[in-house]
Amino acid sequence: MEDKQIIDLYWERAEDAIRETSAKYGRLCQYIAQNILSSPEDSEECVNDTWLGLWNAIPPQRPNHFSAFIGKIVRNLALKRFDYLTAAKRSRETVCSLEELGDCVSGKPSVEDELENQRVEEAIDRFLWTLGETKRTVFIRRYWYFDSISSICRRTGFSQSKVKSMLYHTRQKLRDYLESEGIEL
Amino acid sequence: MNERQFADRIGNIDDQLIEGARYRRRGAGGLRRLLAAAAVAALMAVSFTAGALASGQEAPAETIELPDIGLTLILPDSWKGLYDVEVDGGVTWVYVKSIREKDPNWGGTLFYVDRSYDRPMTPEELYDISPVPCRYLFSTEKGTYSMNYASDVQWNTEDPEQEELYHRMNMECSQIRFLVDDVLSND
Repeated sequence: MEDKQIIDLYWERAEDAIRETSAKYGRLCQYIAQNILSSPEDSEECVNDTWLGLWNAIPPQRPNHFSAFIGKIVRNLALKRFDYLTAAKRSRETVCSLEELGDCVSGKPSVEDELENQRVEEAIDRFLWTLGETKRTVFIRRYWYFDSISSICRRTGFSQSKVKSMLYHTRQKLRDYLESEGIEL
Repeated sequence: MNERQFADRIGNIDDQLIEGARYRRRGAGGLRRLLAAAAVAALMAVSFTAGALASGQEAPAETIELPDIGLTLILPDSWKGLYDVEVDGGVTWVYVKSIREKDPNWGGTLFYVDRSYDRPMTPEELYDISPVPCRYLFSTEKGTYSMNYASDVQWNTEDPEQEELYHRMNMECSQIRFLVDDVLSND
């Protein structure tokens, strides 16, 4: 079923909406949640919460990019669950990904400010669009999808050292770019 | 800003960036895409009998026959003696023989062929939703068949020979050709 038809089902409050979404995007959601949580049980609960989140979000929303919209929900829910899990249960890969992002920021918690958050997100968008497709994909796979380094290597054919080096330089460039935009890191 | 807050900012990047980073089929070649699409079109006309790929190559040295679905995989010649096949519940697994024999825990799986979805799909539809790297094979009225590549480590990471062999064969998966024959009668 086309995304638009599925979204129409949500607007009609038809329960088939969730069934169709699950059939089309269940594996993708499970994949993202599993990358972050490394636990099939936690991932499954997270995916179920995603369907509820979608049900509550549509309407009023009518996403243009449905898979990304769903992905954002499952990613956010998985990261929230990740925050609550004890250190022993945390996914080592997610911890590594987050630690790597430390290259881009000061590490000190900042006050949440919606406008400032939006400004940072727009700057990250602009930066990513300046990258070549390969570097952009590798960066997003690592820090949005939370793919492991070895997974990225398998899918791109690059060596681990090449992927790590690519990510390192991209993080450095991103930090420089954000600073040049006057963003306090 | 701390790492976790920054991860949240990255989480809200442009939807097009997110969708653009979805893995597509490896070794994407225009010819294969065209032929796969042609297979779908033929299905719609309920009349295709053969030839998702029939390129007039020399007779292949290595093939895997999947008679239940009318599929023949034509492997690189260099794979002779290096791979093995296991069929389990409608899924055909192809793995690196020496890895499986020496170190069963690591599997050595290169890919598996199965009916990945119980509905006909175009290659684009499959690649849009498949969370694992895969290659579209064909669709019938009842389902979509694909080659799905291993998504975790399949070799002993402390054995460089295994790693090298696996990587080589993994890269050569893109050279695999396939023939589809009389699939409708087997569906």
